[in-house]
Amino acid sequence: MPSRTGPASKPLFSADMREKTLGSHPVRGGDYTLPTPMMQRTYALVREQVWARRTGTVFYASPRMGKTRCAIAIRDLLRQEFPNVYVTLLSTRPSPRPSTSHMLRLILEAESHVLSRRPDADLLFGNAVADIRVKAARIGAKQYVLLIDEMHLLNDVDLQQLVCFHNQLELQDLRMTAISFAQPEILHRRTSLLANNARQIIARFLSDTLQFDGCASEGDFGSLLRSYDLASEYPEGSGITYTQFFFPIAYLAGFRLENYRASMWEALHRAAGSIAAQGVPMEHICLTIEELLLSLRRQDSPDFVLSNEEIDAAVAASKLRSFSDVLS
Amino acid sequence: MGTRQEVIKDSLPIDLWPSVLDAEFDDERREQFRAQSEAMRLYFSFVPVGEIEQRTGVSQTSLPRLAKRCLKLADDGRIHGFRACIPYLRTGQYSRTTELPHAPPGERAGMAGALGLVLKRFPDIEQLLGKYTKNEAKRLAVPEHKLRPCDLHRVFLRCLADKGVGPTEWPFTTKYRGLRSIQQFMKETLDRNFARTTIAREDSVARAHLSVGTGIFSLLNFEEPYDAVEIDAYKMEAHVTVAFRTPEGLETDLRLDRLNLIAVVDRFSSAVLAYTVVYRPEVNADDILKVIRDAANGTWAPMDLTIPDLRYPKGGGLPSGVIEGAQGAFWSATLFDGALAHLSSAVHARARAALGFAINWGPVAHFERRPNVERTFNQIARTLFKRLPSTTGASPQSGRADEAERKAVEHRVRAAEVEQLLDVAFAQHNATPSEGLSQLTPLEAIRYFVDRPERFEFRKRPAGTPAEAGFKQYESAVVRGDRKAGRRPYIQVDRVHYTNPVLATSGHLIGTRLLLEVDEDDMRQVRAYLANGAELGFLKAHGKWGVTKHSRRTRKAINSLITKRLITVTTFDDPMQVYMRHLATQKGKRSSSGPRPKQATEIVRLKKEVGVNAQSIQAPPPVPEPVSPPRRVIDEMRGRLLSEAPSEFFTKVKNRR
Repeated sequence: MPSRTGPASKPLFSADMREKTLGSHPVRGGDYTLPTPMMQRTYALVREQVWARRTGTVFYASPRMGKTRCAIAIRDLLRQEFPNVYVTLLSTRPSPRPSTSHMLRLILEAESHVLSRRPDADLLFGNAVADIRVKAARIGAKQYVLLIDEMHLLNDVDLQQLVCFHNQLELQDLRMTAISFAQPEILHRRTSLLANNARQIIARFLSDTLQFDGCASEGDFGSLLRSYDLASEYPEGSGITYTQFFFPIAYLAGFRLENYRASMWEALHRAAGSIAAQGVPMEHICLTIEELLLSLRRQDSPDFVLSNEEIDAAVAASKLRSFSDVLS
Repeated sequence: MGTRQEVIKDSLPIDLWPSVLDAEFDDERREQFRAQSEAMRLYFSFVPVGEIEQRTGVSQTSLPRLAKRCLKLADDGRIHGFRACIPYLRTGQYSRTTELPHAPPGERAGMAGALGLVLKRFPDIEQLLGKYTKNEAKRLAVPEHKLRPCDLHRVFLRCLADKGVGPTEWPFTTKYRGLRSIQQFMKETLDRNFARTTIAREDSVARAHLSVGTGIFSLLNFEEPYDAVEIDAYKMEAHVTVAFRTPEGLETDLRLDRLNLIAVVDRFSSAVLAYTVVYRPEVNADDILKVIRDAANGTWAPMDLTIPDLRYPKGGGLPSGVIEGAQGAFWSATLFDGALAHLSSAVHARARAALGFAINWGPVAHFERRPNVERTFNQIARTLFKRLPSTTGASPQSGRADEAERKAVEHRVRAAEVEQLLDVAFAQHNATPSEGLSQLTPLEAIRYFVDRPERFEFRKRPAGTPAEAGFKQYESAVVRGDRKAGRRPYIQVDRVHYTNPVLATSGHLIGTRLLLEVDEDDMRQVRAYLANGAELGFLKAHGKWGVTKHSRRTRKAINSLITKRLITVTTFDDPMQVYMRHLATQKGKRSSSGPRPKQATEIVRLKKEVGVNAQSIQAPPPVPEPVSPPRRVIDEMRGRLLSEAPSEFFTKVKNRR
């Protein structure tokens, strides 16, 4: 990270160099993970569950709030922080008809198991249990964390299978924690299961439901912008932050995205309309900032400022308003 | 009458007697009146009669008689009091005492009081004549409507003949046989029983007027804007048309059925708060709810006027659009027309519960209880509808244009343009100074209150309640489905199946009852709840019913056609489009082509339903008020965590390439 107070007199690289490197810059394709306050909070809760070896939690939110991104980051962070816990991220898809094999297939696919297409449910069950046990034993793990993305796509049969799988691992002395991410429909599934008296499923996987918000406040948004300004780096090891990469001259003159926190937040909040109550979707926040960085990079100069029109145009390019209209 | 002591003991204190203003009396009369009044004052103060005579000059022998006159009951229900002291005043009815003279018919010869004498002789005849005159049903005969004096006279003569009154007695000895006396008797009887005979004999307008101007103030006083609103429906007094494109590509005008107008008018200021044009011959509960919803939640915006030179008045409009703060204001009481009473359950159960107002159903046909809305309709009729070439006037006898229906088509009096005129007319109404508001306009009257926030505050929807709350219809349905036949669980509303992935996989719910929240304006989906109140999410209508927005009324109209096998709806066709096609291809019985007025009206209604409500698609859907607020990640973080997160962990952006 570059020193902010250092008496740098000229930018670290020229516009030509930037254009050459741009093709591989993470901002161009959104290939980076921001340490958002929401993600940090979620991770703190998840690691608490893992640390205390609890059964699990469901996080639910509308689409594009950053659930999948969060699940991936949590997987990586857990692996990093708890080397002796076995962690898998499972992405679900709906099954066209109720099938006892479907859930087991998904687990095996998540493990890249070669025999995941077998038709026999008993075989699949045995394979899945054995595979997880072997992999957990390899790192000396007594605990298995299953991160399930899009959990609402699972039906009652799938969840029932998951309960059996969970019980079997417990019997074999491997503790399973299921952290799920889902859309709000999961609450309806929960209602239906409650009516059906399927308490064993609810007790294990659906008892603890938490709403997962997008970017909920201006303060959170400010810390996002700070990440672009200060806590990011590309190329790796260069000490050049994302903001600095796109506006080297302006950055030197003191330009920071965070200085525009209030006006950008106001524009985003306005465009989010009725869905702003659940927070502004992370996807659109990132698209807006990326649009600003990419579209205005050629205007880099010592007196570069972001006008409200440019901010509004970037918010419009993120299509937040049409997304909000569709959801509401 | 007993002694002076007894009389005075029981009589009204003299200070409370009805008084008399003697300013217009001539001197002699005034003197006499004052003497008699003073005599009475002294008489009732126990002054000795001799002294009274001495002081007032009124003979002591006449004092008891005068006192008796004073205490006699007058026609107005009070005693005569000092009125009896007015010289020559008659306190009783004229009553003839002498025999009637024998005079040849046609001669006027001292017949005064003849009728009175006869009626005194036959009291039952007087009673009977009174009943005929007052149109009382109790006399065990079918009452004749508005009995004429000559008919009463005939009854009178017949009764006399029955009693054996001979041709030598009055009235048979006179030229007109007492007709004039009977006319006078009838007039007096009618006047004496003003309210009763008006109700029995006169039309509804006269009857309605009876209840106003009684000199008694109404118990319901509305002294601020939005205290109360009046809601009424009105049938437009003109024929209008709609443009219709023929298959050949020509444009022709089709006459519509007569349309209805519903308006919500503020009682205090007479401002029109909302209105709606109903493309249907009769108004139903949905229309009433729509206009209530518009008044409570809507925001007025000027229309795009296509008629050249038509302009809104400066600053005119409906309060929700032109007065800051008036949008979304609720009122306290709703005064309805009793004629809409058959729609009461929907309005009670839904609108009243949602907006929390009291409902006052006026008595049927008493428009005077809602003076503002009726006056507004009158005004709109006078300034707009009755001036159109296609006006139907108030009735066939009054104001109907010749060949109004043909003229509507000939002059292309189109509904869409009439709606524009109507909007401008209402805007003008709200911006027109009114004598009842001290020459303020209705809008200015509301602003006067709005500008004084320390004295007046609008009642608004409680924060957090969705705008649609309460306008939903709730009903229950049994979950159907058949495991053996492999039919997944569903529910049925108006012949259409509804389900969602959760319900479809909840076989255990078959046979149980769900509570449905139905938006009758948009039947594409319903929201379902279990009996214990837990939500199951939105259930979507099967097939194309879930695609095109349609109201429950449309659904029922299509269903009734299906029943009649007039159209066939397959699951591959969009029912709405089939229906529209059906309506458009219906040929009129007459030579002109195109749908008949009823069908044309129905098409316009459908189009408006889809078009107008297209805006409401974008409106945020009602968010159910959760029983307990959802737990959120951010709240959980405030609790105590058992573990300690490593510091400086995941604080940097991670590049993934």
